[in-house]
Amino acid sequence: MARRTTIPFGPQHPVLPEPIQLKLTLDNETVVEAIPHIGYVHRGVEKAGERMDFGQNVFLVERICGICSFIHALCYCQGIEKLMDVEVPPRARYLRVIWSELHRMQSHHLWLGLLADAFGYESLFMQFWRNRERLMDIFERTAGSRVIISTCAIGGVRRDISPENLQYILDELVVIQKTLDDAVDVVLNDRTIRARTVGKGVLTAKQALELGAVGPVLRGSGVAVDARTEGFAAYGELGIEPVTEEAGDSYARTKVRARECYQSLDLVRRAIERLPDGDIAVRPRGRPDGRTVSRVEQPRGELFYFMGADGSARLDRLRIRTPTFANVPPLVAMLPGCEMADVPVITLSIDPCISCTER
Amino acid sequence: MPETPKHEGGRPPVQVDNVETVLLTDLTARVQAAHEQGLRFVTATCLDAGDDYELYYHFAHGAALSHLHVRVKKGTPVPSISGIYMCAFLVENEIKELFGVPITDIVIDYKGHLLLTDGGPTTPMLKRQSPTSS
Repeated sequence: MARRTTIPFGPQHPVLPEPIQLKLTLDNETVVEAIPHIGYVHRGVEKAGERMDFGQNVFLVERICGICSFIHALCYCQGIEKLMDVEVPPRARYLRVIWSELHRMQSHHLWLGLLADAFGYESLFMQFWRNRERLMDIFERTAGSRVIISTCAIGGVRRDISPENLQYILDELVVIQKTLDDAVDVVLNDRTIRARTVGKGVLTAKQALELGAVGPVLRGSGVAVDARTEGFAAYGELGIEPVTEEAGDSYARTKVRARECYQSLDLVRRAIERLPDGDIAVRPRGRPDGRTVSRVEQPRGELFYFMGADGSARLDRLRIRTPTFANVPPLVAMLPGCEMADVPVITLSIDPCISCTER
Repeated sequence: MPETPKHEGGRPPVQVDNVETVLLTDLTARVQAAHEQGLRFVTATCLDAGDDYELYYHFAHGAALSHLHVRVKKGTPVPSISGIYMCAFLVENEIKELFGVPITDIVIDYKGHLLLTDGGPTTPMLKRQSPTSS
């Protein structure tokens, strides 16, 4: 006879570097319901964004997440630029792509390493993170900082990348790709990893759309949606095809992220190759006025900002919808029917960023 | 007709593209129509507009965004759309707690405890009621 129990998964758990709780109802070892609980570390960034000067907010939103800080700043700056009718110089748009894609790569390396660690593959974990260190070194060399690089500014970027450093990036990418080839081969072909991810946490394309999934969670279910195809920054000129996989399981989401590392390598190389000469920023004049939305593609998926301004120095409203916030309802739908032992890997498969969620 | 307020540079305030303002009584039907068209629910945004709330419901169809806009008097119950788009339950709980919008029939209702705790600030996102003002 089935025994029904309710147990808390999190807020502290070895696969959760940050606190979120799933209240799981189990029939013996099978999950029948999952109710998410967040709010353990909520920081009130939206409120803070109404109290600070619109220029200071660039530094505020960068601190929402240390893994994709540049892309938060990019989303915010693009919104303010729309409100102030600022045209960003072409070189700055390409530099934005370079730093964004380096961020995507380091985020996906971080996640692939965490996935390996969740299986007890410590050597593989270290291989991914050692490669990630090379990406962090690129940030340090080009921006002076490894985590929050603060290079995005309203009207462009704060720093240029010298020809020597562009060559340094290209040289590093060769080494990064070689290590990635070896490590990804293990992640995608190892028998144990496949056994733990193939067919686990399946989300159909219909479910993914209805549940508002974004990023690799949505694309892993075969839906070709990627905000970069809108063409912001220099993506329009560089061209991009969303990476999709059809199966909708944890393996498909892993494969999307692995393939996106290669896509980012290609984008950085092409952006460097085509990097135009010229200014890296224009000085914005006046103050933002009106309402707008801004959307970019973070490593975890679509990032959405709504901004309202009345022509004063402070925003009237700053609304931030992060990708993990959007991917929690799909996670709740993936879990029923799975074994308790699969909950950690399925949860990890959405690449949860609680720092973003608790903005 | 009142003159459009001008930006410092003489430009009128920017407006969100592709917004449709609807009556509160039509909201559920319009969201249902969006669902039937296969639109993806992106999120909702609440603004404190003095005596009113302004609510935006953001949808995506591929790369294109569209938005429904509703203006309601404070205290007016707003029907949840989570019965149509289940994924709206998180943002609706957030709006209910942070702005005090009485959203009814949310499929998973945290009863004011998604983000806030007993003894903490209430409706901290309202303009006249901030968490540090007391």
